[in-house]
Amino acid sequence: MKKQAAIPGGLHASKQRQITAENFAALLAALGDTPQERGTQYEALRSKLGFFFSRRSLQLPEDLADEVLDRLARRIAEGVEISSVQAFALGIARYVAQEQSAEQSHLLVFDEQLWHNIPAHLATQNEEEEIDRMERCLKKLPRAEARLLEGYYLAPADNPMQARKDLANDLGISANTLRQRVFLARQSLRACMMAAERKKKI
Amino acid sequence: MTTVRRELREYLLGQLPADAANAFDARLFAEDDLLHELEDEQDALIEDFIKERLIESEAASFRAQLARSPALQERVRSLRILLGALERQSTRVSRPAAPRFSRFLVLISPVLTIMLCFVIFLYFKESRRNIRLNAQLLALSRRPQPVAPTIGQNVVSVAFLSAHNLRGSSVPPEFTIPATASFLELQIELIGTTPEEDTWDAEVRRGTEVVWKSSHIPMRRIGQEQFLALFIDAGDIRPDAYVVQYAPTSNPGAFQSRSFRVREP
Repeated sequence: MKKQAAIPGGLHASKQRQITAENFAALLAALGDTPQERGTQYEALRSKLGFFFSRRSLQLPEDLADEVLDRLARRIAEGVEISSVQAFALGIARYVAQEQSAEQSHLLVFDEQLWHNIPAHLATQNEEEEIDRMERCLKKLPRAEARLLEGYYLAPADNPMQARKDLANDLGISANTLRQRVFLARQSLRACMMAAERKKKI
Repeated sequence: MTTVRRELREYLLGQLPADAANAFDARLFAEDDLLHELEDEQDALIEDFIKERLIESEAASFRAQLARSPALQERVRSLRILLGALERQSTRVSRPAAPRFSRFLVLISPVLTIMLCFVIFLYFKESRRNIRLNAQLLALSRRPQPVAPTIGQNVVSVAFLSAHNLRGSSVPPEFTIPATASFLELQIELIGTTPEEDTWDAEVRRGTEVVWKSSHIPMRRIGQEQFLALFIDAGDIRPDAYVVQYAPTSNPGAFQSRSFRVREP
């Protein structure tokens, strides 16, 4: 497996990475006893790493997560004794985050005042067109999914989290299942939007 | 907002002290559910930012993150588009017909008012006409009640001349006088009389021949109806056309006349 992540401005998430099949197998073996458990734990760890980097506003958080996993796999394959894979991964992630923060501060300049002058709710002309397209995509969604999104996102403003719990109760599902359904509905919308965008270009 | 949620937000916005943030990082990697809670809270944070529900310190931290993270910018943009579409759709679904319907009502209400007035006018006009017709039909259909059913042992035949001639002036009312009748009681309906016109003079003519004549005939009243009752010897009335002329005794010039025809019995 060979990956290289390029960042606009010349910054790279990592140098050229290489993970061998042996290293990857060693990582999976450290994550669980069964193939299913190993797969689940791998995805969970990768998600946590991605979240860890995105919270720090680092560029290309998913690539950074892969960088951590590569290093972790290598250390495990080298026979380093690890009591907690997750805790070890966090240690590597902190190190990578420090590296990236240092690189970014040298190479990227952010205008933090830029967003202070832009109203959060204001849609640009381009976004207005996308809202039109999104409306068309919403109409193509199964009615139950469209209503789910409406109930989820247009909940009363005073306590939206409670409103979502109530919605999950009304539907007879857990809050986690509700979140997954919303995620899937949004994935469908994203696919529809991308298809519409391709059509527009043609 | 609960303390737990407040803490999640502070962590997400980078507002926690370093030690507390490190502890949160450790929990993130040790616990399975915390990631979901953080993702939910971040969604809520983005949503609150778009809907301008963040307090100033939260909004400032969020904007700082936004400036640094294209991924976050994309998430904000994506949710803003979705919310925009959902709100538009919701507005269209919940209030689709009301403005159009009210506009429609505003346009047609003057027309409706005029039509309503016209219908009310027609209704009252027809009602009055109906009342008049009913009165005429009642008068025509009612069997005349003789003032004097018999005079001694003699049979009296009664005929009623309504003030309302439904058949038109060209067709005078017709009736027969039974052969057994000795007298004809000819009742003539009066309308528009004054209290002074309590007695009347009348004569019955067959062509130019006066076959019966009387003065100071009292006007009779039954309920609202007023009429004269002329008692004529049946022998004087043979099948033919007649004219009865009558006028108040106090004003002989204001005479009125009615035609009638007596048929063969």
